[in-house]
Amino acid sequence: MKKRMKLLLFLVLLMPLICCSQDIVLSNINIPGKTSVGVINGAVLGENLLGPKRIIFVWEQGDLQKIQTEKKSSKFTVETSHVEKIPTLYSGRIFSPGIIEPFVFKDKTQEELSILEVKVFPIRLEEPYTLFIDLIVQVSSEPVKSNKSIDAGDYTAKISIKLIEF
Amino acid sequence: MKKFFGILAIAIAIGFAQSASAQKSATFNLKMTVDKYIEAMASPVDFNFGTTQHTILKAEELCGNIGSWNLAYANCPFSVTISGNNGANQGVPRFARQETGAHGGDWDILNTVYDINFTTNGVTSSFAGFLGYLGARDFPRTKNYGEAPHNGQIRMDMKAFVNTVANCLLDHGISIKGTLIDPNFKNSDSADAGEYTCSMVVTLAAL
Repeated sequence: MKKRMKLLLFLVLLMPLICCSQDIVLSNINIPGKTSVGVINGAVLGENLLGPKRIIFVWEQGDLQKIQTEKKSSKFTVETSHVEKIPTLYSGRIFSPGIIEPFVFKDKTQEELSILEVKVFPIRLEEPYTLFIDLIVQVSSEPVKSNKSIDAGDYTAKISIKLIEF
Repeated sequence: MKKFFGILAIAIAIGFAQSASAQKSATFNLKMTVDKYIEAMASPVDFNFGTTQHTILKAEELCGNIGSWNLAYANCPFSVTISGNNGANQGVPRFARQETGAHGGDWDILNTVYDINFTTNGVTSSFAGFLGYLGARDFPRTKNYGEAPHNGQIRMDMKAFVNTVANCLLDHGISIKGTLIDPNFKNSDSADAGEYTCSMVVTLAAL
């Protein structure tokens, strides 16, 4: 019984946190030079919001990347790792219909988005509103002729978009 | 039991309170996959290793020209399999030429040894491994390259040693064609002058 109680408590407390994380799976790149795109529409950034907000992009990994570990052995084993990155561009809009002017961004890199000063001002200050985001993530691989290569494998990135009072 | 429902009620209340207290951020976990891809250069490629030279060991020997090719693009670990054949249909890349003329028809087959290397990630390694050289009899042969070429590039270079006394044991069973005055010589003991050919197929596969 105690175990069940602990599990229930854990689930109930974590549910709001779990709900905030969303997965975007981009299309595979099966030929070098191809572009891969992932889209998420109408993701909720914040609910029951009141007043103006500042939006910041926080990156755990901005560009899609994978860490490669390789073992080389001769007399003893040496493990090396390196990070393979694919330049990633972000487009989208942050909006709340009828409440704020949509903020639109197009083909921004991680660095460009990090320095963006995004502020939203609701038309009616006293009315709670929900803030949404449409996000388009795009990566392009180099064609074979360019003498650059993206190693095959799974690439991941993680972005958090935070709302701050000001 | 009462205690349990009490705690559960508090937990639910905290949960709802968290939900209602306005979600203040969203996290996006992004994922995509780059497929394995290999592209080989256009083929067939014609390459001439050169012409034999007469040596003091009484043989026409060839330490051939080195051929070097930007063989392929690959973004993943790969295997290379080299196979081949010749006009005598031996199933190996060994130089051969059919004798011509009224008394010809047999195949002159030459002892053939290769030095083949692949370069990826700036490192050149022998296809033969520690042996260094491979006799034609050792084909088909496969070698795995466990690390992806991170710039995608695979270079191959190759040199052939044909009818050379020094390396002949690597293609054992194929005698050196001497240039000796010996009435006991059979047709196959002498290599007629002319062009000798064989074909080689290099196949790359993703690991």
